[in-house]
Amino acid sequence: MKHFLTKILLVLLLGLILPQLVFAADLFFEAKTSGVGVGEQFEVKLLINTPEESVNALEGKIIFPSNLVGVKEIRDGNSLINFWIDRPKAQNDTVTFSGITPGGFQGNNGLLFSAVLEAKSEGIAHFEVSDAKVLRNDGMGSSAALTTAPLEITISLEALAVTPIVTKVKDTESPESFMPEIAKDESTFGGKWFVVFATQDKGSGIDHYEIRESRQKFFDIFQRWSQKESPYILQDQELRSYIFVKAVDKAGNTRVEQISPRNPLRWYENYENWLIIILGFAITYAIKILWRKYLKM
Amino acid sequence: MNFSFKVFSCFILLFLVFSFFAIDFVYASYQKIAPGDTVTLGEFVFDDNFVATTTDCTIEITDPLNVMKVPPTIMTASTSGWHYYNYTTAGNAPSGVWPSVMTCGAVARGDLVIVDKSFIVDWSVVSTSTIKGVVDESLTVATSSLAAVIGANINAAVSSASSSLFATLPSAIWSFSGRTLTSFGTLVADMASAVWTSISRTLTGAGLDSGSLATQSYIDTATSTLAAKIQSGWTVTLSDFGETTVNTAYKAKLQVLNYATIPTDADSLPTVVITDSAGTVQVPNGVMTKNSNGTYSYSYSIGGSAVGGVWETVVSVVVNGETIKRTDYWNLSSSPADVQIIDITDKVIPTITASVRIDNKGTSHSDFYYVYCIVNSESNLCGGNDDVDSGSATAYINAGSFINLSLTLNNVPTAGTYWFKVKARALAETNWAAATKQFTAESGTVTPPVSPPGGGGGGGGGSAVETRVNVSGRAYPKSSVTLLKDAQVAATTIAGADANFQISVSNLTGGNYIFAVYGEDSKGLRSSLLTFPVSVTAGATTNVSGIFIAPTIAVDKSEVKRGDNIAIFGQSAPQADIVVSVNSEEEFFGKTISDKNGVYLYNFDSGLVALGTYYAKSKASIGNIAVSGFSGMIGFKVGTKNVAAAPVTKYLKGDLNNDQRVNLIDFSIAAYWYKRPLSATFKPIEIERLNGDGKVDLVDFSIMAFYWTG
Repeated sequence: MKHFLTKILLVLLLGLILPQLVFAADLFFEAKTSGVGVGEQFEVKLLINTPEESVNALEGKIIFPSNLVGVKEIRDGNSLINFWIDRPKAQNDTVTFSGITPGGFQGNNGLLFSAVLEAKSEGIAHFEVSDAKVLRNDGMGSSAALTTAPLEITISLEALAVTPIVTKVKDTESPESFMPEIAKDESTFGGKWFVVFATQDKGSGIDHYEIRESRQKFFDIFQRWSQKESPYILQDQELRSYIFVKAVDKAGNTRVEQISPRNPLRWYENYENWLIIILGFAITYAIKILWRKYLKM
Repeated sequence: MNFSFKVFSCFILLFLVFSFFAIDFVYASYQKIAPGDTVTLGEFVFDDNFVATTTDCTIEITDPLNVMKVPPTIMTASTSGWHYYNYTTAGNAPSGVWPSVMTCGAVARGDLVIVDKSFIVDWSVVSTSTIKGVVDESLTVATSSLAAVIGANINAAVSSASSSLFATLPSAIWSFSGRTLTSFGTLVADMASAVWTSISRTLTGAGLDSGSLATQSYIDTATSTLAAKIQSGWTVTLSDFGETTVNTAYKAKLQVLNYATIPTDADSLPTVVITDSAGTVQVPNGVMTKNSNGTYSYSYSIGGSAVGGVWETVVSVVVNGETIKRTDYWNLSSSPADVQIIDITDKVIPTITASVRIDNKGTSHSDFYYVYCIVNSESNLCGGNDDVDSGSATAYINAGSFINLSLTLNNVPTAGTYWFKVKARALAETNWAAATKQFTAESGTVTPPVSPPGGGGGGGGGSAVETRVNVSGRAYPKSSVTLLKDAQVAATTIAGADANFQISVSNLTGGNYIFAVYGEDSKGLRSSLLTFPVSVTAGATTNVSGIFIAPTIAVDKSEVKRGDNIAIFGQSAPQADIVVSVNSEEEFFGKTISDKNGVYLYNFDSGLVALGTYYAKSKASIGNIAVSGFSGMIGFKVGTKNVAAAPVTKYLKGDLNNDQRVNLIDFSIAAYWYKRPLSATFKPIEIERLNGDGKVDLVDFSIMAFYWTG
């Protein structure tokens, strides 16, 4: 009797759970191999299937055995995530991530990011997604039903791969063009002006951004690039400077975008103009001297 | 035999003495038994030496009527010389002396002995209980017989009397000149009262409340319910055809099952109406053919010039007087594709090039979407993130024509055996045509990589041909259309008077992009975002067509007095069919058509719903050619008064810096407060423009992503 009741409860429970599973998003791993040798590198991708529902925000952690594998690189170049709240980053035995896709994503095999790992010692490396959350693109941020699937990679003492498991990215393209924007908000950053920027690199992915502020457009050679993140509080709160934002991908390709000053220097305040004038006079004077010499000859 | 004559003589003497002098005594010494009792007749027999003998003795019994009941019969003997015979009389044995003679020995031997063993059957010795039982039995039999006779006679008499009475009573009452109901005193009133006060009375039981009388609406409801039940007792199934191409035949099969799931004929042959995707009725009144009991079929030949798209077949069948309709939607492919890989023209890694031909074998011109990839096993399909390399693009092909393409993939890392795969379909179609070709990639002269461009301006890259994406579709007449690339504004344009737009973005690199478009109508209302992932091939132009931006939507009242109309309006393409949906327990759908400027208006009768808060959304379609997604939802309250709607853009959800846009700036502000205690300044903003839970977390970012404008 007791077993019978248990079965009935199980059936009812399945009845409640199954409809949600049917419409659930699925976070899963993909690797081109199930076994590697110690010292070999391999790539594990984290993907999402959400064929029935549009989702626009997600977060979670990947737990991996740091005694067996080490993270060499995280690739998010072709990710469907447009803006990372927490860019995927390895810390101890965890890769934490969260981000959004404005407008939502609905479909299968949506790439979130991939990790290039190196096998360190023999064993079975178990990868799983933990504390994951996927939110619907419904204007309310309601949670979508979610299933996750773990991954196991067997690490042997001997090398197994005949061909390279990790696809080498041949990236010769600059990051995508982008449009930095200056903004100010009384509630944030003490009401100071700041600049926001973000772009993507479809090849190797963005490595970092650099910023340079200069009141001179051409003679800014004395200004140094400094590595910064968005949002960046401007040093020139008078907004009289040109702002240059450089995106650098992991292959070293760069793209620089420029924002013109909202309150540019008056012409006489910019020494560039005086240099040009002086240079102009000097050239004129030199031409005049040369012309006289030519006439005397 | 050693009998002593002396002894024997003594016996005889004694017998004679008793016989002469004591006849009464003799009678008195006879055993008396009641009828039905058993009498034991016996005697001890000795020989001459007074030794007990078991020599056979016989008994003979006769009843008082001188009927021999027991002929001479050997008696039972024991070693003690006791010879006996048990005789049971019948229950109705006659009274009187039953002469019985016991005979031992034989005359020939000189030792014959005959003893009188007569007995008396006498009713006087019968017990009272036995007499009672006999009497009762007799009385029962007699009573039963009597009752049967009396019952038969009474039934016959009553039947005869009733028959006569019913034959004559109506006539007698009808013809009675002084008949009146009131003459029965309070009988009628009492009966009416009894009926009226009966709590269990009901007329039909079909939807009637206890204690109510049936009204017309009750009867209508009951009739409708009954009709539905009768109809539901039948199962009518129409086949699902799916998809076909021109110059083929459409086939439909209908089966009618009764409540016991037995195929049963309909009242008449079912009729068929077939309407094409443009709304033109192609078969106005086709008649199905009967195949067997309850099974009918219909075949329709599709001409070569038939319009592609979704066709509709409606079959009407009359079953048991009820007309039942069944609909089958099926797709007619008017632009089927054919794909051939003619040759792999460049097999030297890392760049592989295939010569491909795509045919439009249909009757309609169309954009064809094609996907190509290189995979390392024959069973591996394009996609799934396991392709060695892949690409996709769109090409316009006239009906009956074809194009030759040179498809290049440049990311094959090592020499070896691969499969080049191509699949193509018309944009409006769902079926793919595909081709596969195996090839061996070879090592050769490696093209030196293009040097990375220097800083300060960026751009450049390895592609000699510009990489571009063209997006086209419908928005609203003369509306602003914005294209987002990876959630940032990439381009804007103005749609034409016919609402059509085309917008391009170039200087792209090969890879996966998420594009999104939205429109802004003449009142400044923005549509919801329409997103679509695109895999862009370096050096190729990717065309995305058929975009249909969802309508904008607004209401004229934030609260409507129940029973009054609320105007739901917005803008879409001109002359589009607009479906307005209002959610409630039962979702309401209303239809209207936009005018030449794309403006639509639908007056919703709030009397159809109860008091409460409701949300409306709308979508547009043009024939069966283009269908938009649903607009965003607009809320309104059905209450007790009318309150005009607030200005359209008081604030925008997710717009944290109040610049009427939701973009990277707002994302950055939210990111600043992410998992951080909110300041007093930011708290009201979070309440008003995010989810108002006093913190910034993933839910707030999701809300922002939904309302994103770029």
